Amino acid sequence: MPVVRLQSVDGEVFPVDVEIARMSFAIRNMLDDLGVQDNDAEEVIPLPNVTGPILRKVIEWCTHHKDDPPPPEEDDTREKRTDDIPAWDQEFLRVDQAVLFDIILAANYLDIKGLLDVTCKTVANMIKGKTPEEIRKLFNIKNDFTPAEEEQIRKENEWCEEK
Amino acid sequence: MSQERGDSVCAQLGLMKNLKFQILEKILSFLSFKDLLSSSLVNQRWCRMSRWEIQRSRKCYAKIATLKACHEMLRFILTFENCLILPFSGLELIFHFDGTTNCLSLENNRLFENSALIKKLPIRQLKVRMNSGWNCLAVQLFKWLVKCRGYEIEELIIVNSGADDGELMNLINYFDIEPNRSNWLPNLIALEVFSPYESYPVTHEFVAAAPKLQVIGGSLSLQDLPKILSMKKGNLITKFWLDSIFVEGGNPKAFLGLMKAKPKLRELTICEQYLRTKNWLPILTIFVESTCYALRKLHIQHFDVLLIASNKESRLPNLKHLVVEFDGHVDSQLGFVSIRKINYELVFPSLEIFKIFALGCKEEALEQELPSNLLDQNELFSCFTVKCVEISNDRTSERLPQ
Repeated sequence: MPVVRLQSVDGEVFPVDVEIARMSFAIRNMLDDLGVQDNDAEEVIPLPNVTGPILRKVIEWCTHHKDDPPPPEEDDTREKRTDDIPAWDQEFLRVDQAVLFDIILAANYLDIKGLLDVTCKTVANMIKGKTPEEIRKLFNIKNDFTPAEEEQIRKENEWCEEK
Repeated sequence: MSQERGDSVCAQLGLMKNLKFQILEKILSFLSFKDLLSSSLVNQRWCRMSRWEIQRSRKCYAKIATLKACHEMLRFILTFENCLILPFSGLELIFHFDGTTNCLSLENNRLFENSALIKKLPIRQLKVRMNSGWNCLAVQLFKWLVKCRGYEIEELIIVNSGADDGELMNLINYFDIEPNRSNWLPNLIALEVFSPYESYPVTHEFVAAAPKLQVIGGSLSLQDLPKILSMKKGNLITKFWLDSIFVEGGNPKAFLGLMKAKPKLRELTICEQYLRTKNWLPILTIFVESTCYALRKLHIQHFDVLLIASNKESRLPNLKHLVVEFDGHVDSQLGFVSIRKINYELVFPSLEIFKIFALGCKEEALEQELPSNLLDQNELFSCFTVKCVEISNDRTSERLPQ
């Protein structure tokens, strides 16, 4: 199996099957742009935005999902569910939330749609059912509304109903 | 690491602050409408993003119920006049008659015409319920929106539940559209028009104005139907509201034309039978037999469901949602228990939700008149598809869209 070497920002190098590495659209584009052939095993791809521990997690996720069908195209008309996270992914993402956010950033940088979806769903599940104050507390978000502005937003929201 | 520990690490680092716009947008896209409203109160950034998400991908209406027309419209305008991102994607207008006639005063007209808000209201979805009364600001707003911003409307629902006024008879006049302008709803995709009155069939006029229409629903009268069929748009009818009042004196062959157009009816509502005409049974049979494969939801009278079920040919293989309406007068003669005699697994083999709506029955009366095992799921259904069996006298189950 042809291998490509991915280098994290802290210098760690990970040999990865090309097919697995190509699940990242960013890496796929780099390989294509560089004209890297399947047998260029010595080629090192630097990933300046991803640390070693996070890159290891990303590779672990991609390896587990290497045979998945391609994720469906975005469709706003389809109901977006968050209760369909596979059990393996739930266990995989049972991590410190600092790690979870780093995986989200890595998935976004590396353009791995399936991983970005599942991590964003996990964060959405953390938000669901919470009050604004609870959300602020959870993510350490500063409330930059004045009391009058907050009251105005509440009043505006009262007019709205979902179909 | 425990969830609590993780939360505190997250809190210390303020991780959410570092998330790019696109990532927060993606996270918000997985939230429900209710959670998006909560998120809009977190801080300014979350407010902007939650509202963008609502406008971008949700169907939610600002509901202006004009019981006190002027007062409500003023309150709406004052609330949102300085709002940069509105938290809705469509508008629902409910017209009532409030007994005043000075609604359209010069002062109010000026306010309406000068309002920057009115000009930027999102109206991808526009829903209008006409209870009664026409001389109010909401009516004027409705006319102005269709005339001046009709190109923005993608979904239009009109429910006429009380306004018996011939004014709506000619839409070009009603909306003051230039006579030569043809496609005045150029981007309309879905149209539903519900009316208990046959006198003013207007659906075909909307259909003629909307070249991109993909879905037609509502109550279509015998005057509307042939015109829609002649435009070759009969196949777009997916929700049908069949009312006996349209059948009275009419020719059931007109409905045959619809069936030849092969509409993929997914929802069929068969309305309260004030009049049972001799034409009724053939029409009912035509509808049920010709729509049987696509139909997913059927809302029907007790009497009629018995008629259908007694026909050996009737079978609705893909029906998932059945609502049966009991009417106190007729059905007490038939006997409520007759509903138990239907062979559900034969007629509705894919049924998932079965609801009985006892119109006008008080809760105590329901308990007294209906046997406690009327809807015993184990007795009625041995098939596993049925997930929900309910009986209700809730007015919200009425046929007209709420």
